[in-house]
Amino acid sequence: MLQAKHIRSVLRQVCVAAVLLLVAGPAWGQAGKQLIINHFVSDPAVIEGHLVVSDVEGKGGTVNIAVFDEQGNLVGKATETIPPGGKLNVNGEKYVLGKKMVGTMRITSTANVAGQYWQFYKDAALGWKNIAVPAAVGPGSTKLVCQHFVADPAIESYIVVADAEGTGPTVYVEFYSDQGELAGQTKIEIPKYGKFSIQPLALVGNKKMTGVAYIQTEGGKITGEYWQVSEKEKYQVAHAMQGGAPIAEVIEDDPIVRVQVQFDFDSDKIQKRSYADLLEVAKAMNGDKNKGKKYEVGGHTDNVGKDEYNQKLSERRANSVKDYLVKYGKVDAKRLSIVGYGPKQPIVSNDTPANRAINRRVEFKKL
Amino acid sequence: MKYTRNVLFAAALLLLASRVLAQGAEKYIINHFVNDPSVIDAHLVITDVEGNGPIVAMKFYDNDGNLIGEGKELIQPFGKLNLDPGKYVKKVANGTIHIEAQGGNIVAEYWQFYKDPKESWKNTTTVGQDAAGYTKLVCPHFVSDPDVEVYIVLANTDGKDAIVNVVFHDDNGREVGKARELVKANGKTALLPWNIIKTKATGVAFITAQGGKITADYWQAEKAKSYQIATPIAGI
Repeated sequence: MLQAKHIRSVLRQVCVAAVLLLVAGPAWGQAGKQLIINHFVSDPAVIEGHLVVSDVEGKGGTVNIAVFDEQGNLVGKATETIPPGGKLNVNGEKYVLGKKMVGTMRITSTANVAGQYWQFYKDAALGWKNIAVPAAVGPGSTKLVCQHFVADPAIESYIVVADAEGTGPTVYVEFYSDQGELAGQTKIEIPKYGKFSIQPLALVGNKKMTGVAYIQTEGGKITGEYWQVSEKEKYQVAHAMQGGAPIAEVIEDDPIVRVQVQFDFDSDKIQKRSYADLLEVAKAMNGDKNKGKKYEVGGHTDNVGKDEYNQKLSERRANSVKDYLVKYGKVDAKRLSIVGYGPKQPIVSNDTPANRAINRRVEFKKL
Repeated sequence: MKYTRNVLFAAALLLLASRVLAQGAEKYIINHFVNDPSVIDAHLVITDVEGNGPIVAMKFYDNDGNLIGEGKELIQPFGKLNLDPGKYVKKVANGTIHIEAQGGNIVAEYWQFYKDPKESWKNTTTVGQDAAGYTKLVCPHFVSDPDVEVYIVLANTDGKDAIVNVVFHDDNGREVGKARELVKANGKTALLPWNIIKTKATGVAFITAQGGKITADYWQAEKAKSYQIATPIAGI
């Protein structure tokens, strides 16, 4: 029979977990107080570009709209009011006085809002190009995945990435085939508050293919979209890219954080795609909430190979992560202690390559 | 007792960490798919987001929530699948796709292309959604107009019948209509704002679900202007 004390204890833990989940939720919901339209066109002779901002809580509010060109120059701004339960539907050219331009719109609101950008063509013969894209919500991500791209000379496709925070980050894009083979990569600096558009075809050696693009940053967060248009087949589609969550905000509040740091096979060399995560971890460790606090950097391996070898490998990997945090993240080395766990603490059974990859990890524990 | 508490707490934290740090999700839903090979070329795209190469199990349901097809496939690490629903569904049908990944997170999308080149202006794509679903959603924009074909697509995500209430407000926030629908477990339904509001309007639709969780899309097509658009509806 369960004792009342036990029940209370379990309930307390469930409540803590629920609160933590609630805390985690809003920043990554589909509505928020900060929106970004990643791609906006003002070209009054050709396009009607509508900004839609809707109140999601029935309270109404004030929204501030800032329009930036691709280079990140502020070219227009306005303040608007949304009635409770209503929405704003404005031709965006109004905010730049009809000037022809391409750029981003950044919206901050006193209420939680959801946004969209509708791009309609004035020439009825181009109606097939009409498009609507949801606004990106929140502070952006350090990682995005473009779940599908086409590289084909007969199809125009664009990966659009916008700086979300005004920090002008460096962006790394890796293109993989459907079979998971690396087909191309590039590195781009975004101007502060700016954006860029790249065409996959040129970056995969003009090879006709379809695949996945993985995008990550150093020095700030981003939002992004994928656009695909075929003049021949007469269609245009666009959708938002999915982002990853901000590690920094998690590590600030939690005593343990699991980060899947990627290493080369049988090596302690950290793969480039993990740099952004580690910089986020460093940022959190140096944040006000955690300043001076000490952490254990725990290395874990899968179960392939001898335990003794894996033990040393896990220590070397934890040490690589510590070195990275100290050198590039400016974390005081004295705050970090290294522990190698080898294969002794798997998260999942080591029965498939995918599960083994999950077990090869580094965890940060607040001491 | 203390041990149990610690295990529970650690499990909660791990759950939190994996939920918050993850890109994509283990369970995804495509709110609307069509299998009609003579008319539509449909593509289900499922992408590995973490380089783990998960196995994905797919279940295809009709609008009433009946299972009409299923399949299992492996995604290569950093790769993706581009599948024809007709491989798994052997009849003309319309419904939802539930996807569950083992061994890594995924994202998914649905592409609907028309085989008749004269209909290509209808080609469109929708992104899949985390199948955790919502009980509150907001459709940021709808049109009520007899000349514009509009659907609010409501899909049941968690295998329990849901009663869905939709309240339509115009742009100024004035209530202009409401609807109450049953969305069967694993099924879906579509609302046409014009049939409910009966006057021309644009606005915002507030959606709540009771008894089960849902996800939703908004579809808008206009033959006179030759366009079709589909966007996900925000869960809040």
